[in-house]
Amino acid sequence: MASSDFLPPTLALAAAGGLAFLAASRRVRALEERFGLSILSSSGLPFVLLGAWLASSRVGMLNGDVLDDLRPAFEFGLGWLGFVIGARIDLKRIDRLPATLPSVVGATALLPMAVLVLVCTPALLLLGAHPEVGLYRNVAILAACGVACVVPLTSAQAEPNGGASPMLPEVTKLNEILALAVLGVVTVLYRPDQQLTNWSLPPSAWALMLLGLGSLFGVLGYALIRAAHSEAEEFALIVGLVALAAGVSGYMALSVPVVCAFAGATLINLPVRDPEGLVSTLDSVSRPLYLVSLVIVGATWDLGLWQGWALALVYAFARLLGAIVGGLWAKHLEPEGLPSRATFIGALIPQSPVAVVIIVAASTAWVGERPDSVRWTITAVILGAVFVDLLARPLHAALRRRELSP
Amino acid sequence: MTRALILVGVVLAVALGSRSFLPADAVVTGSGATLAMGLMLLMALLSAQLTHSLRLPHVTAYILAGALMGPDGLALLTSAMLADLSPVKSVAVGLIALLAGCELNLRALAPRLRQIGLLSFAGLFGGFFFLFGMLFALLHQLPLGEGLSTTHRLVIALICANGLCAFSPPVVIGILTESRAKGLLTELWISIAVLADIAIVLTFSLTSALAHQVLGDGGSQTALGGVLWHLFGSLGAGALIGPVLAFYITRVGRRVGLFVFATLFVIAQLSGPLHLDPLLMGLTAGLFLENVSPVSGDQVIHETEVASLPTFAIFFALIGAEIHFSDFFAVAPYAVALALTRAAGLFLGVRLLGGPSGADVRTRSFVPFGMLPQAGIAIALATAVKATFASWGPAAATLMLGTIVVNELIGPVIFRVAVGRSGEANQRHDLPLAAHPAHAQSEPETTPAA
Repeated sequence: MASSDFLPPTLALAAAGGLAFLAASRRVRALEERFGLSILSSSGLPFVLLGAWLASSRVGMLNGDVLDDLRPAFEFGLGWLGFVIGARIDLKRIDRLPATLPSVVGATALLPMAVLVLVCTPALLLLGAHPEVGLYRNVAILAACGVACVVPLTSAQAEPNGGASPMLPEVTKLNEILALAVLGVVTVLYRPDQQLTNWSLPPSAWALMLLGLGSLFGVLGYALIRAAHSEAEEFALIVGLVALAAGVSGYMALSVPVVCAFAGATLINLPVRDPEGLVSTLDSVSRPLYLVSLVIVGATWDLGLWQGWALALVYAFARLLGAIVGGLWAKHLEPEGLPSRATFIGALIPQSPVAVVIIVAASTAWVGERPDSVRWTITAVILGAVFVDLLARPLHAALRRRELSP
Repeated sequence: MTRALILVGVVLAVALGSRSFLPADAVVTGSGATLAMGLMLLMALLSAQLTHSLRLPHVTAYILAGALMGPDGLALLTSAMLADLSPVKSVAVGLIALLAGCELNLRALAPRLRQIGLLSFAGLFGGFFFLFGMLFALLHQLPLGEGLSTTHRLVIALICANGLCAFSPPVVIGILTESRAKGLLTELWISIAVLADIAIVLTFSLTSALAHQVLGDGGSQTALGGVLWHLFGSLGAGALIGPVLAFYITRVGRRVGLFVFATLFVIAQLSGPLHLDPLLMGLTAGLFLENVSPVSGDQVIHETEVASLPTFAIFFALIGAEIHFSDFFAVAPYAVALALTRAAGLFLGVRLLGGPSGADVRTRSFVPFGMLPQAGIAIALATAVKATFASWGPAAATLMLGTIVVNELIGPVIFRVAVGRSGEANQRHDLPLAAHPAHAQSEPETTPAA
């Protein structure tokens, strides 16, 4: 065997191991927190670049066959991340929050969505996307990605008095759920050709199917883990449940993360003995799983399309504008429990990892040959997150100065 | 039990319902395999809950669950789905071998290495001798042997007997793990299964090379070179992976189970194109961790416990799903005869030839039970026979696979009983994760399920 055959896999192995080592280290997480960076722009980007490098013609390790091999793992990863997002929705905790929460969520989700639609539609048209070939679908998905903002408050965005807002994490979590709901609607409306399947249902029936499957898997999960005798068995059962939920929804061309999110939300709101412990167990796997998924995202990423770069700038601008407009409007409603204006808007700016889950899930759920515009949107969401992160800190500082000035 | 039965019904209904969405001949990459993975894992774990009260080994429950859903069972799993899940199989083999290596402290075993070697030889020789004779005799009866010269028959008997001698380290380790077994016999069972596995891989390559030479198709040099690369390349790669794992465990120490699993996944992906053996790589890495590095094998076993259960369940369910019952029924009487002959050879070999090993009679009577189960390696060798020898390979492989099915289903049950009677079951008390109650469990349960 020639030594050149050994080199790419060995390098890949070393690179993946090294990156995993770096990404898992406390220092990287501390840096992320200190600079207010999202996971994608800090530890995630190297994984995306690694995927792009491994798929490049020079290395050729992540070729079509290997990606096909990895597809089950990738689909499972999407399901797991969806499940974790859903499992963070605790209705009892939400019930304890001020009654103005729905208005705040509406303002911080619907207004940015409207801004993204208004800005991205003409941009996509100018770049050459056609209404007949997925324009509306792409715009809807970009809007969904745009409202998914990062959950935790970074140290840079904390209140000057050190206090934390109880409402803010719930707002961002619900925004993520709304973003997933948009993805669900898109996959219900854009179905595979019914000639190729045995079932012929209207979109409304598919919507019911999506909700029903999510709820069924949630209840099934509850019944399964009630019978578990140990944490190890419980973990194995949840892995099986998520794989089955992801597999069934993917098989039926429904959105994998959406069905799994419903399942997670259903499960966690049933009388589970230790919901926090369960979420913590689920969460412990989600970060590495997300990072590894990014390698596959990187392998399918086409950086060479200039339209993707242009759209990324437009998308980043629209996200910033949307976050400011949404944040200002939400503060205008004068709800209780929200932090200062600068902190609130600052928390709405960084893009959530869920956005990448949504864009990739939408891309893999595409039926038939994917137009180039789908690749542009992937580039836009990945690079857009980086651009937004670069602008977030100075913008937050400016907002705070303005707030503090008499 | 009632709850498990209801849940089995619900899972099967969901799987059947979703499979009806697409026509039977449709192939869906990704989704099909993910569905298969979830279905196999849940059905395997639920079957283990169901068979727990029947005192059947969980490994057998996993295999039966897979067989029920496989292409020759309810056909919920297609051959394409199983093929898509083959990386999971390689990961499981690597993980099983890694854990086996972590169990083997060479310093502690050093005084017994001669005994282990002699007992392995005794079992293998006894099994081989009996199988060779029986196969040579059967070839006069079977259509497979019609019109072949005596030399040709001898070669076929040699190859098949060699392949059918294989033991199953994964099944042995799986049953010992679920039995919480610890003791001298437990160490012997693991060491012999692993050592014999290496010997079988080596001798099979040599007998294949010999067969090519005798039958005159000129593949011997390639085969021998391949064996050497397969063996020493795998050992070398394992010796590199061991320090990587040790470095990660000592320096990072977070999510170790996941890191080990991810590393094994990469290894599984590389092993195919590089013609390396994930079993040997995992074993070497495990031996390094336990015997050379500052990391203890027990620590690795503990850290990977959460990842092990789902991996093993899927692995054994996959093995069950790959059972070809149609092939088995075609050769059932011969297969049963061969399985009995193999068992007789193993027991007599160890009893008669194991004397010089210094093992007492009790040890010699228990050791062959760990040699009965067969699975992955034997199946791989049968598949290799089928692929390598075009003229007689498929028929010989059918006979081999039939015999393996018998040992696959009966062997673990008998071995589990033997472990129980040996007095070494439930001797392990380091159950940190298994002792953690599930998050949803309302009251502590007393019967461990895994």
